[in-house]
Amino acid sequence: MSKNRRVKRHASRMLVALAAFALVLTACGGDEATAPDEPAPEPDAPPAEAPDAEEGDETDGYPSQPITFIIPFPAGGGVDAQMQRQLDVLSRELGVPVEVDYVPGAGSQVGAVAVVRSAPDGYTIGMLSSPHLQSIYVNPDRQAGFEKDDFIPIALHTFDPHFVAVRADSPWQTLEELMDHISDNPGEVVTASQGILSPQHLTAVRIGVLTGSSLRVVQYDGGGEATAALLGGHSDVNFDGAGNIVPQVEAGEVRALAVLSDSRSHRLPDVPTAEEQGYPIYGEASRGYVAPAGTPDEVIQYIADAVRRMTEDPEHQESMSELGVQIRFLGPAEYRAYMDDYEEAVEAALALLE
Amino acid sequence: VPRAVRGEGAAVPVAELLQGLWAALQPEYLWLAFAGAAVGTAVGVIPGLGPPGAIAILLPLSFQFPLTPAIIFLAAIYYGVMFGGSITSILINVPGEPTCTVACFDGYPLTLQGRGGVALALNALGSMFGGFVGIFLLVAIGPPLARWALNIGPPELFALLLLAFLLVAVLAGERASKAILSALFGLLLSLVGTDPTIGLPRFTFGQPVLFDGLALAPVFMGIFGLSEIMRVAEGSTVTSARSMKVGSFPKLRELLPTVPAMVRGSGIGFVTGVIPGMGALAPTFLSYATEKKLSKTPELFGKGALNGVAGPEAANNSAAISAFIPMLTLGIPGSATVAILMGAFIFHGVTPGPFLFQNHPDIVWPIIGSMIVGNIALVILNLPMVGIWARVINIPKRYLLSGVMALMVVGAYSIGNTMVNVWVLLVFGVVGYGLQKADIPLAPLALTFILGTYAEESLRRTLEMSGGTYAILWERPIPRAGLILFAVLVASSVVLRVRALLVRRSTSRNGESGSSEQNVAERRD
Repeated sequence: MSKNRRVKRHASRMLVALAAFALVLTACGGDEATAPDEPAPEPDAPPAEAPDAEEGDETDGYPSQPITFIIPFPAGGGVDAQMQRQLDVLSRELGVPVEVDYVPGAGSQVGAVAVVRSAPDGYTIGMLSSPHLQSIYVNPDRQAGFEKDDFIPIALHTFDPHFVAVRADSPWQTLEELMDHISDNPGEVVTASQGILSPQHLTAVRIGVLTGSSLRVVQYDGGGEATAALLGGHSDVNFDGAGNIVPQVEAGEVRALAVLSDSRSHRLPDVPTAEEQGYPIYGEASRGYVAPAGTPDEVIQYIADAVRRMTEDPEHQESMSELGVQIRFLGPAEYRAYMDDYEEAVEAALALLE
Repeated sequence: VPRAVRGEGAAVPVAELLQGLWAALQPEYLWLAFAGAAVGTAVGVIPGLGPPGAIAILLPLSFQFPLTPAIIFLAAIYYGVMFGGSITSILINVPGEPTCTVACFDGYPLTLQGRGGVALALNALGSMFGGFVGIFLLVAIGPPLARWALNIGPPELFALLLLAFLLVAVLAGERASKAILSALFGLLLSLVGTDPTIGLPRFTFGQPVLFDGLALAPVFMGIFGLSEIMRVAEGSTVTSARSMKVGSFPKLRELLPTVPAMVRGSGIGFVTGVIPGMGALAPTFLSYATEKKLSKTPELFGKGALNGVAGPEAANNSAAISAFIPMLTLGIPGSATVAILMGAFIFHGVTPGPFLFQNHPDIVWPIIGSMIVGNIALVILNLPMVGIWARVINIPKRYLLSGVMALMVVGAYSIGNTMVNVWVLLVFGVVGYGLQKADIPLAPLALTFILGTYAEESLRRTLEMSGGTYAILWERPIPRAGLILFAVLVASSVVLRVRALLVRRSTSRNGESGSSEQNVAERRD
């Protein structure tokens, strides 16, 4: 329940208050809590262009109070950076302040469960990643305790296409050379993955299927460790997003052989897609919004519309691009279809692993 | 590629450093370093709220500033917390952060002897010393060292950890058998969580919060802090705290012998801090064990040895500084806390990477300069506070201990906002109490609990890399050297034991003493 959440947040704020000498906190802490929300309901801004009068009636005055977004990772990560950057515009489009609640743990599983178990009143929304979400409930080992029918997809917002990256001194100049080598030497090429059934793991499995061979998958804790393993020669090839790969490519440490998307990345426009090179491999991490099952359709549509308007804002597009993620808006129905695709991919990978 | 990153001709860039220091001394940066150090110390004193948690909570506050002052503020909080966490370790045996657990071992006995002020002053001076050495080494050899540290992959890390496990023998108390029991219990605790290779949850009681393993803070607060509160409550711990003189600083002749310990601690902390995946916890234990091993009076360790406070404190802050190096030079966060700081860089549109020094010297050098300022700020703020902190323990026990308990519960809850960690705290309070009653030393448990997770992860990764064969440990030079050293150390200690035993046997037979077994048991200590 969102009520509980707020209580929890109060607990941690109380701690800070104790810690940060009441002075510092009353001076700045108050700002911190409300600043991003304050400018939201400006009289001349969105309400006019926001919901139609008709919609307003159907949603029965929704939203009338702040909306809490659950982030299933600790504060300070990439998802949080995105949320902090979009707080203003998101609350402007929603017409109410946005509160952020961090529910980290077990690779976003704890947060996903918190979303599913919250009240379906439209005031608690999850900002979740795919395919991580699918990996949680498709894999029985994870003991998720929820299924795909327990939540409703609202909208896909951003995605981060993965690159195929090798060290600059590695022998492979093209994706084809790498694929041929894997195909001729099963189980020889090592890849640093970032968790069981993570996007990296799914890509490795996919490459195994395409080459009729296999990669040696080593599981690391996140992109920092995986990148260190690649640079240090403990991994031969990594699949990862722009945030970890582009700085290393720019430094001449790493060569990107392909981007695993249907179009090239603006960050490295010279790197061809895998598709262009004849390999249908797609890999990415994406962020979108989901609500607990039972949330009224009108509420889902209201939030989806707000997200759509946000993604059309040029300033927001620029801000996301600086973060290294790309915008791809999908409404509720398309997002469902997108998730279904990933569900199949995770199921297929799981079947192969067993 | 910048020269410094390649590690060629790593001359100390004195001019840049001085410029950075000058920038950091400007009022708009200076006050942030002081404010951060103060906030950090205060947060550190609160049990449970560790550096990553504290920085994450205060992160949005820093978004109000431009990047450089934001990082200066957050970094000052970071080493402030590292320092403040030891204050509660020393005064009431409650580690403010898991990294400060070692400060309990000798700091708390000093407090019980009425010399808490000495321990607190050593904490401050050791921290500053370690910080300075860390900063100097960061500037002098940081980039090439970070590059070298990339060679430490899973097999190398496993071999290093294997050697670290030998420290159990150094940390053991009166009886080897009890130390081994304690160490095995710690290993068992490190198994809680998700299997790193196949992803199956182990001993998690269906609680997803435990999928990431037992959080260190509630476990350490429980076994060290809560159990000690129980012992004080029942009267088994007697303090002579009333005799404590306010401002009982260490005398110079006490301080000088701790300098070598600080030097060694700084070096140990610096090197372990740079190695990816080694974490912030190992350096303090490594330093403590080193000091005990090298000491002419190892029997004083655990009973208020000054070197047992000074060395680990220096290691702690030196490691806090060197954990920045992989981020600043390679764009790889060296610890959970630094990962959050890296998030602040990215939030401001600057991605740390190999070009950071070259493209953003205006950002990097003031941050490094502010580390010097921040470490001085810590001492300026805290040396005068020693007397006040020391008086805290003169608060009547019934108020002090119940207040501390309440803080511990809130602190445990704040880790992941879940009651599960409160239960972990309470259960381990009882466990710690039981272990102390049975006279089982807690230090080996803490060591193996910390290292166990890393050791398992690195071994499993090693085997994933090799396709399941252990030969990889022999094929690579560093792990091979580690294994040989491990074997030599174990064999030599076995030989020494056996020889001592035989000598004992023969002398007692000759000397008609008869009670040879008793002698052997004593010898074993």
